Amino acid sequence: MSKIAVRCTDLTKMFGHTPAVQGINLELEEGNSLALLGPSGCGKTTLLRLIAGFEIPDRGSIAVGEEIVSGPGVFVPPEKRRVGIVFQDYALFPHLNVADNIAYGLPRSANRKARVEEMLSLVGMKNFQYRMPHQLSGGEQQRVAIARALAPEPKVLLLDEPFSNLDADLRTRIRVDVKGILTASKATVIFVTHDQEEAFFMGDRVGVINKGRLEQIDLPENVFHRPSTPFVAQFVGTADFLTGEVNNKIIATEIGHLPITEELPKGTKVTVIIRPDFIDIQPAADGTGIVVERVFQGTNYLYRVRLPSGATVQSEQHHNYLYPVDTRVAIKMIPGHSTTYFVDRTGKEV
Amino acid sequence: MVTVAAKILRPVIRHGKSGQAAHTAWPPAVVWIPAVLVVIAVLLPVFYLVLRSLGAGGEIWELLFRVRTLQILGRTVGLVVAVTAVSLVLTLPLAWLTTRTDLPLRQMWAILTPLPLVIPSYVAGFTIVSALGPRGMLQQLLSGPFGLERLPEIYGFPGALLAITMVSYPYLLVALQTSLRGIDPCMEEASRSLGHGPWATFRRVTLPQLRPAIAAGSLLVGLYTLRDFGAVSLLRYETFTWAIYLQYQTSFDRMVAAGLSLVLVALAIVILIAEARTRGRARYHRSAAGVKHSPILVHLGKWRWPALIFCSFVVLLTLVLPMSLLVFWATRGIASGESLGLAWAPVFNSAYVSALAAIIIAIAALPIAILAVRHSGTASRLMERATYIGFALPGIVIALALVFFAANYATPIYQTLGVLLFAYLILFLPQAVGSTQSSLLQVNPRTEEAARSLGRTSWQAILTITLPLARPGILAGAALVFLTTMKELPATLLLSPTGFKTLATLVWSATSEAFFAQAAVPALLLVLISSIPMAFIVFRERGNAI
Repeated sequence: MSKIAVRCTDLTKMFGHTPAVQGINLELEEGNSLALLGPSGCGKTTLLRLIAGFEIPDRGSIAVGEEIVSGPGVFVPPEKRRVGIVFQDYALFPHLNVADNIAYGLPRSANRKARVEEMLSLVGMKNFQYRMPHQLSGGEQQRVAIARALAPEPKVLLLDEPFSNLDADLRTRIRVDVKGILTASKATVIFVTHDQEEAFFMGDRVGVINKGRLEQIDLPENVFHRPSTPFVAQFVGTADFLTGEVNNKIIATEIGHLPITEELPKGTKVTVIIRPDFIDIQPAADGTGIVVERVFQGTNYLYRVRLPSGATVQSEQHHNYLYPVDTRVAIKMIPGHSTTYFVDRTGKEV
Repeated sequence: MVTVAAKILRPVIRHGKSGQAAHTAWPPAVVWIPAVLVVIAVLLPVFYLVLRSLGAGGEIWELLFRVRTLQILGRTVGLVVAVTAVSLVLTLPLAWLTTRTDLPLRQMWAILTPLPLVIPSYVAGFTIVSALGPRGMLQQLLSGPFGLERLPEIYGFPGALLAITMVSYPYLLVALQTSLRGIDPCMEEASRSLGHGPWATFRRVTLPQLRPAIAAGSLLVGLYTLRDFGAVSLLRYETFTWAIYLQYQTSFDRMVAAGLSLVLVALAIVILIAEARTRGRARYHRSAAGVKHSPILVHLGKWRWPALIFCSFVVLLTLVLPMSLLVFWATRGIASGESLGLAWAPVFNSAYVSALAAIIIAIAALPIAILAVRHSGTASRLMERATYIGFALPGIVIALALVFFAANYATPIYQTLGVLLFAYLILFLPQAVGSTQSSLLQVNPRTEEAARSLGRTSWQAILTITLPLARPGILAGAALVFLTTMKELPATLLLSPTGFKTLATLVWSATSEAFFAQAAVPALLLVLISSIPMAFIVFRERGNAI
């Protein structure tokens, strides 16, 4: 049975009157990795800084391992937490060479030289130990920053937008390298990103944050296919929303009927999620939709179609199917997708 | 004063993500306790001065509205306005010629014109008195063939105006040059493409953008004039600083000196507030981000000859002539057997006391700078501002406050080096704070947080990360303090232990008694020593500009 490495309970942090983090509860098991996904300004970096001890929470508590590090009347300073952090800009010490950067966090008593060499080989930078940070590329700096953070064997490693400072064409390759390093080190990892692809690739689990709240924390597949809130549905992947009404294990919408498994009272109003691969469009003189936008995406066209109610849905079509804007189209649901819907509660919508 | 110039020379660039500055709760005790102590120490003499003046009750008002006080006020304000106006007329064309035209040897003029900054005002005073005064060079030249016994009076307003303008116009010049270099040439090009000629473009686009620099630079020159003691005392023009000194020397009633000091401080504060306002406004005028290209230089054509004569005239008058005079009197002194051995004790004293001041002040500035940069809040901002009291208090006022205080309450330390160093601390702390701050701003706060997360306490993080990274600024601040302490006159004059002579006091007393040959060697030494850090600042600024 694995132990809990980090536990946040009802964690809340205000900046002035604006909440940056609101009542967050999460648990992370040792050796696992958690990706925190959210738009910029959603509070994910603040959450990392709370765990690292750079901010003091207004409410709630944080435990690292067995020990409460932030909580009512308790505040363990950052240097006593054994929480490693890799900053977005890496924050290497510019006056120290690579080896000295990595050795910085090692206690005097330790066999520092051996540990530095171990870390250098872990991140594949053996011949770089006497280089200064400014002589390294972005990717190399990042590896040194990871080695520096991992050297004192932290109980958890935090990474703040680790790939955002790299060129787009490098990002995919470096992502693979970093995942390899982190897996090899068996570290417990929390990292923050606004890119869902990164989150799915790096995280055993993914937490979606919006306006300081943790909306869902789950396996990547579940976050995508079973979003627990409209925000998650829209932020993770492309989604449109249609209103519908429950009628005997079926939801009736203006583009057709969708099956559900749950028993719901007849007449319940729901919001249904429609993704671009859920629907097919065909030109038809008596069709209910009108093409209002077409975006070329390479192998596909993404069409936006306006429905009689004024709502729009998107449909992905192979690039062989070219329909001009204003074409009238018939809409058909492609079967085989699980239906995701939210029972409407007035005032609590997207 | 030099700090202010240094700030213009190297504007502080606040970078980084403002919202994410480490505003982590309470700053560590190793930072805020020393900072509070330094601020209290610096504010002490001011409170004392105010209390003493208020203690006088109704008399003080009577004193302040005496005719003599009003005369001094009139002379002071007159001199401030005149020096500023002459500087402006001189520097506006000079700044434009040296940055925007194809003036021959433009780079050389750009380097030479700010150099008079290194000449202390009393050395300028010396060159004027020794050249144009009674028993001066001109009179000696003319008395032989023409039997001329008297020259037109150089003492008073004309001499003071000449001396102070000579050494203070570079403050305005540097402000203008920096601003002219900073203006995005695209704006001028846009104006040209919209159908305006070069002159209309200068008037309608360039000049309005220069306005903040003109205001800020003029106020700096004004403040310099207001605080100056060396030139007005040697040229016997009774402005506040000289009047305060005379009052202190001749009368036992210190109340008058204290009252005059308060008026002087009030004037300085008015100028400082105006300066702070224009500086704030100047920010909006900074050009937007993006790659700037160099401006197209204006072709001077046949106008380049008058332009060349104008630049040569300024450099000749403010740099070549004073330096030649110094060399002339020094060689004449050596030739007539003036004992040079005497000069070594003051050299040592100057260097010793300046080095001590540099070390003490650089250390005292650290906690305040760290607080202001890393823990910005109302309290730390107030503390940082409090250290700027040194700008508002002319040296003569601080000296006087400390003389009263030490003589009345702390006789054992009266006339010790300790009191003198304390005066330097109040005067020059802002320079060190400013320089340290600008260096700290370039240290990524994330590196300090990284050190914390790697197991170091905040104190260890400061020692191993912050200080090594901020070292250039700390050292530059110390160098600046060393230089200004070397040149400082009034506080040194009033507070030095008996018999403790420095280069500055030597130049001043020898000039007052018209022993020109005796004053020349120490004056020359002072200027030469001051040139080293000045060269450093000038070349660094030019390096940044390119």
